[in-house]
Amino acid sequence: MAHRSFLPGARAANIIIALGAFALGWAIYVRYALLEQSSVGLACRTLETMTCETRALVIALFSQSAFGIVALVAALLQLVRPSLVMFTLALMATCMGLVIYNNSLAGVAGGLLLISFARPWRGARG
Amino acid sequence: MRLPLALAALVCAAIVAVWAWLGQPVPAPFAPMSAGEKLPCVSYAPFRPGQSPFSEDVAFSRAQIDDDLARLSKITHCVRTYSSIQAGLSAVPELARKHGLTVLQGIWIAADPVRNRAEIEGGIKAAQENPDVVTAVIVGNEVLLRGEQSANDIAGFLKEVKGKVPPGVAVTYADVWEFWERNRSLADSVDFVTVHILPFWEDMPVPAEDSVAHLGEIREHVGEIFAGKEILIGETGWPSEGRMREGALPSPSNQANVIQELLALAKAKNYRLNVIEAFDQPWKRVLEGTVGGHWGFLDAYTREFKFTWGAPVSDHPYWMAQAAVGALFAGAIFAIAGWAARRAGGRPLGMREWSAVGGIAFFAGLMIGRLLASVPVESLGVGGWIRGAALVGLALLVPLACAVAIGRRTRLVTLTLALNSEATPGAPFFDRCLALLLAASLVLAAQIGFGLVFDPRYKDFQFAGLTPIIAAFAFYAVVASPGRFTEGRQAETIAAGLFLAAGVYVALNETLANWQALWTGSLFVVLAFTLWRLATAGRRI
Repeated sequence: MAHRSFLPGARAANIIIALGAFALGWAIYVRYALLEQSSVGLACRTLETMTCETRALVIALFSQSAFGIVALVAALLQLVRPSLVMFTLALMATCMGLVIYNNSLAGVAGGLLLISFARPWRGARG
Repeated sequence: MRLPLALAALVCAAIVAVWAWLGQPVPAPFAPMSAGEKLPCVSYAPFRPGQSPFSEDVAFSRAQIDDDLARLSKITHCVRTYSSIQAGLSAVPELARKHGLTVLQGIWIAADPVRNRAEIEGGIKAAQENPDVVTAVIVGNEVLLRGEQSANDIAGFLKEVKGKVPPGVAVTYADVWEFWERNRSLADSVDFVTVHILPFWEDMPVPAEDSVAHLGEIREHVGEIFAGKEILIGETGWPSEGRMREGALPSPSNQANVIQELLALAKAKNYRLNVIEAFDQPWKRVLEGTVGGHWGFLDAYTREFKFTWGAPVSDHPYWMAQAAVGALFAGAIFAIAGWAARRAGGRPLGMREWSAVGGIAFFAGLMIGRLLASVPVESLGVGGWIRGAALVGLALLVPLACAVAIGRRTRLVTLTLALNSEATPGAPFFDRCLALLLAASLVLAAQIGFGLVFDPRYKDFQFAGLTPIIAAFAFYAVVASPGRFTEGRQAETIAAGLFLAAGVYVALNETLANWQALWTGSLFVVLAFTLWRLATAGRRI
C-alpha cells in the first residue's frame, strides 16, 4: 500500500499528541515564566542557577532562529519522506518555535506538516 | 454572453466605487498651529532606510544630521534624542545650536554595564560642553518597561548625572506612565517627570477618536500622583501604517488628526509635550512590526511631511490606480473563465457558475490594489519579502486558476492530486496544478495563521493577500462537483479543524472592535469550510 497517505494510527497519534503538547507546554513555561519575567532577568545578572543557564541557552538559541530552522528542516524531511519519528520531531520543534519567537519559520514548518498528511507513506501497514 | 458581460461590468463598477469611497480625503480638525508656529519638541533619530542601531558599522555623516536638523528647525523648537554616543549622534548638540534648536539629550540605558558607562559619560560631556543647547538630560528610556534595570539602579544613574551636569541642565528619566505609577519614589531623583502616553500601545488600546481625551485623562492622573512636580509628556503620537490593535487603527488620516488634536489640547491645557516622532524609522519594524516604523510625521524616504496642518488627508491617495488595476484584474478573471469554458466545450456556463466567477473577480479585484500597496510596507527582511512575493504570486494565480477551473468544470481537487500521484493515477495535469496551488496556499495561510495565534502583537493581518486566494477556492468549491479521488483526504480534514479554531481565536483574541482581525479570522473560517467540503464531498456514507 505504497500510495496510502500519511496518517499515524491511534496509538501512535496519542503518543505524538502527548509529545507535541509537552513541547508546547515547555515552550509556554519558558517564554512566560523565564524569558518575559523581568525579575528573573535582573536576578540572573548575578546568579548562576540551572534556571538562569536554561534562560541564557534558550535566548542564544532563539536569537539564531535555531528552533525555527530545526522545525523547518524536519518538516521538509517529513514532506519528502513521511515517517512517525520525523513527524514527531518536526511537531515538537514547531511547537517550540511557534511560542519561542521563531514563529515565522515554525509557521512554515506547521504548514508543511499539515500538507504532509497528503504525502504517500511508505511505512503504512496493510 | 450577455450575463458574463453584465456581471463583469457590475463587479468592475463595484470595485471602482469601493476604492472611490476609500480614497476620499478625511477632513482635518481645526489646525492648532498658526502660520509659522513651531512644535514644542519632537523625537529625533537619524536612522535612514537601510540604517539600524543593530548594525555594528552604522555611522551617520554630519551632513546627514545637519540636513535633518535644518528641516526640523522649520517646524520645532527642540529635538529629543535617545543616545549620546551612537555613531555620530554626539554631533547633535553642536548642529542643533547652528539651527537654533534646543536638545533633550538622551542617554541610552540597557543591560550592558560597559555600554551604559559610555552612554552616561557621553551624555554628561554633551551637557557640560553645550549648556546653552542641552536643556535636560534624559537618563534612560523605558528601561523599567523592558526590565533591563531596577528602579534603584536608575536612581543611582540619575544621581550621578545630576551631580556632574551644569546647574541649569535638568535631569529626568522617561517611561510609560504605568511604570511611573508603580515606581513613584523615582520622582525624588528627577527634576521633572517624563511620562510616555501612547494611546495606541496601551494595554487596552484606545481608538484614534478617543486618544486625545485619553491623553488628557492620563496627564491629569499623573499630575495628581506627582503633585507639585513638573510633568513632560515625553512621547505621544499616532502611527500611519500597520496592524490594528483592538479598535486602534493606524492610518495617515488618523495620524494627522490625532497629532493636531494632541497639540491643540497641549496648548489649551499648557501641557509640556514631545511628539514621537520626526522621521519614520524603518528599522523599528524589527522590534514592533510595521507599526513601529511609521510613527514619523515626515516620510523616511522623501524626508517630506506626510500631511499639511488643517488639510484633509486621504488614506489611499493612489486609489484611482488601485481601482484601475482591480477592475482590469477582475476583467481578466471573467475573460479567462469564458475562454476556458469555450475551450472545454459542452454546455455553456450558467448563472451559478458565472456568479461564482463574479465573486472571485470582485474579491480579487478589490484587494489586489491594496496588496500591491501593502507588500512593500509590510515586508521586512528576506523572509518577509519571500512571503510578500508568495502572497502576490498566489493572489494573482489562484483567482485565475479557479476561474479556469469553473470554466472547464473541473471537479473538486484534493491535496493528494499534487502530493501523492501514485494514489491519483490518470488525473489531468490542470487538476494537479490547481491542487499544487492549494497546497502552497495552505502553507502560506498556516504560516500567517500560526503567527497570529501564537505571537500576534507585532504581526500584520495580511488579509489583502489572503482574501483573493481564499475567496477563489471558496467560490470554486461551492460550484464544483465532487472529485474522482475520495481516499486519503485527512490533510484537508485536519487543516479544516485547525483553520476553524485559528479563525475563531484570532477574531476573539483581537476583539470584535478590530475589523482587520475580524476579516482575517473570517477568512480562516471560510477556508476551514472550503477544506471541509474538499474533504467530505462525494464521501460514501
